[in-house]
Amino acid sequence: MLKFKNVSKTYDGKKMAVNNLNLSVERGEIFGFLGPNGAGKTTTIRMITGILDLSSGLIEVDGKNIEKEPVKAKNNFTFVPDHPDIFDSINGIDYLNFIADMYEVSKEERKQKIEKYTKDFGIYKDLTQPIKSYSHGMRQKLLVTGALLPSPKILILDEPLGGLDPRSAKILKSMMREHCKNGGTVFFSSHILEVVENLCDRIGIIEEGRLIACDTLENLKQKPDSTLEDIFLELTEHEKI
Amino acid sequence: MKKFKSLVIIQLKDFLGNIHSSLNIKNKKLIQLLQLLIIGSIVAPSIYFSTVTYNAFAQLNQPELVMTTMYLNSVILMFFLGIPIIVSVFFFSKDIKFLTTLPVEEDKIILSKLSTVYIYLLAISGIFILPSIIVYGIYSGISISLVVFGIITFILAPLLPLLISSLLILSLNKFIRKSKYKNVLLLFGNIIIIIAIIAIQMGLTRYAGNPEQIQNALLNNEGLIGLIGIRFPPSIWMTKMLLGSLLDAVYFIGINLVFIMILKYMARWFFKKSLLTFVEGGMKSGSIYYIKRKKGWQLFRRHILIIMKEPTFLLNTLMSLVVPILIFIVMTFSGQFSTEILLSDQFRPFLILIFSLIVIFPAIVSNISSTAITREGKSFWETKVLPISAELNIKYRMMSTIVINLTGSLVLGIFSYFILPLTFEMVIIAAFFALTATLFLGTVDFMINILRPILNWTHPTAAVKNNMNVTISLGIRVVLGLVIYGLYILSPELFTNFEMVITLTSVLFLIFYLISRYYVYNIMVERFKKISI
Repeated sequence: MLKFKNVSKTYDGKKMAVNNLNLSVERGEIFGFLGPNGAGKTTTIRMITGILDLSSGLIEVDGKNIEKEPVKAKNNFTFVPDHPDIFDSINGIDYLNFIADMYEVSKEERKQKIEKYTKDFGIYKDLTQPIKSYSHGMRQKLLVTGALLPSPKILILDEPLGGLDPRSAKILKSMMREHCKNGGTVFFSSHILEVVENLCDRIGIIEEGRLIACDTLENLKQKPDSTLEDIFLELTEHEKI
Repeated sequence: MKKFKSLVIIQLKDFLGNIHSSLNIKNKKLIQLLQLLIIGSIVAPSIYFSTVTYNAFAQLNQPELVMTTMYLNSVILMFFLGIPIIVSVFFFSKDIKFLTTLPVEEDKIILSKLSTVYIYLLAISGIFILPSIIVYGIYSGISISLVVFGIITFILAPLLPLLISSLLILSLNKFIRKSKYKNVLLLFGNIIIIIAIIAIQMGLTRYAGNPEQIQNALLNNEGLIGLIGIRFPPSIWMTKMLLGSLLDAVYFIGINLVFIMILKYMARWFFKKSLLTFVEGGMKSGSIYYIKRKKGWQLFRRHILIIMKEPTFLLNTLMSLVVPILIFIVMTFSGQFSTEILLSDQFRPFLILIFSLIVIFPAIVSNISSTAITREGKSFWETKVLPISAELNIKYRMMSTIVINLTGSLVLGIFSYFILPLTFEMVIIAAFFALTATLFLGTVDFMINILRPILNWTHPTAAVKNNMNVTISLGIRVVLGLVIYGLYILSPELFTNFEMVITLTSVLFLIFYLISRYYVYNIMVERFKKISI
């Protein structure tokens, strides 16, 4: 569903943000992308979504090359960024209708989904308010709702749980599970190890632009009683120095 | 005092940092050169005007009135210019809530925020008041008291207009608390400024060009100084202070201190009753809808809404479209212009030229295409991740700005239609001219924005005003104007038939548009795709 082949990204030809990344995420999978700050998680996600160019290699979304067939590739996924910087002078409902039109969601389907997700998240009544009056968490919920509207093949989320209250975080997690149960794929980055541990089918750990581990949690565990935190700290040990 | 100093420093650093970053030029020498050019282009006419005014007053043995008039005009200018900046600093800044949490008194917050406005107005004082004092000193003789009090005048001049504007805005705002009026307040303030600037500009021009009027005013009753004194006494105190009167120095400095004390005393009340209630905002009513629209229409609508919903963008766009109408209204009401002139036979051959220039005014002045990408700022990623082609993304950005400019041309055309005795042929020629000029200049502006996207701005003003793209765009128009003027100088016979010249220029614009359009969609599109936040 999502393939990285020898993907590298350098800034100004000097700083190697992502270094020869090879990875494959399968259909129906929840894939957690971990790494310390500045490891290259957001850069990787920005390359998948077409926000950043690749310096070398290729990324395929459901067989479509993001650089050669960007529109076809983008039709397969939706994206929720870590910072909800969206055009905020419009109302929430304007934003959702805009996204629905971009992915050609029918009137009936958008109505049903907007009502369902925004009521679950508790922002339905705020949809007629300008986005600029929303809190960080409300914006995040709006972005997630927009991302779920077209039922994308891949849902890509960058630090999706930041700013969400516990109830909304739980709802989002169950939405992610439901999305995969319906045949969708979820690719997300997070710092919250507990969430990754409980939610993901597979985990990738990136450090200094290199994928240093990628497997199921069970396979990553060297000792039966070790946690993801132990694994993460052990793999990224030299960062402390 | 330490806290206040820190607050002022942080506000000034933020203010100057924003100006610097909005220029988006890495070459420091180029920045300095540009700053010198901008200052020079403003100071030079100011010095000229001071000299002309000095000579006029010198004939009446009252040359010191050059300082009085320049001070008075600057105060009016600062008063009106200060209003939108004060509104922006208080009601549109994002740091009010943060500052509220700090262990600092409210008056210190208010006064520190005003420090940025003060710096802005101090520049006006330096541009207009200082040259008049220097001109007076050069011609009438420099004394120590003139130097000392000259510096005091330069430093204190912005205070009165700044404090009066602040008191006015903060008081008025008590009655306009709901946030839905924020935009109206800013728009209203800015429209007043434009009218004031045009009126002052015209008043000054008329004043300088007709010394007889000055003389008549001086001979009337108590003379000009008396007339001015009744309207604004500090201008008289300032003048007498500069001539060495210590008593007037006490009056002039004293009045400034009194206003500072009033603002300081009322700061707590303003902060609680006016500022915080404004920042809190209010609820808007509306309905939830589920309407399916075409992708193109949604993209077009998005770009229009970005302009319409952001007061700074809206104002910037509106002003450039309606300035000719404002000039006309001010000129008509001030008696400097009469519609009878337009109907005279002498004017008739120039009718098509005037009309054509009016309708292409939005294309020349409104360079909104040069910020069509920049305006989106950090939300630029939104359309980048959508399943739409880069060509489609470009198309609707350009279309939205071109439609706005053509709407402006249409409004000006309709307005002119009721004033000018136009023929059908003239309307067609001018419409074709406006269309091709708008298409060509809009496309060129968009190319500038692709080359210089500037998405990381902190305030909307930085996106559309303090932006080098706008300067480059205006520079292109100046070059175009110079080329046309050069052609006129070389072969004046080419310009005998205005209809023919305008039609040929339109055809040239059309050809240039097609070339630039091809360049944007086939070559610059790759550059557009590489734009990232």
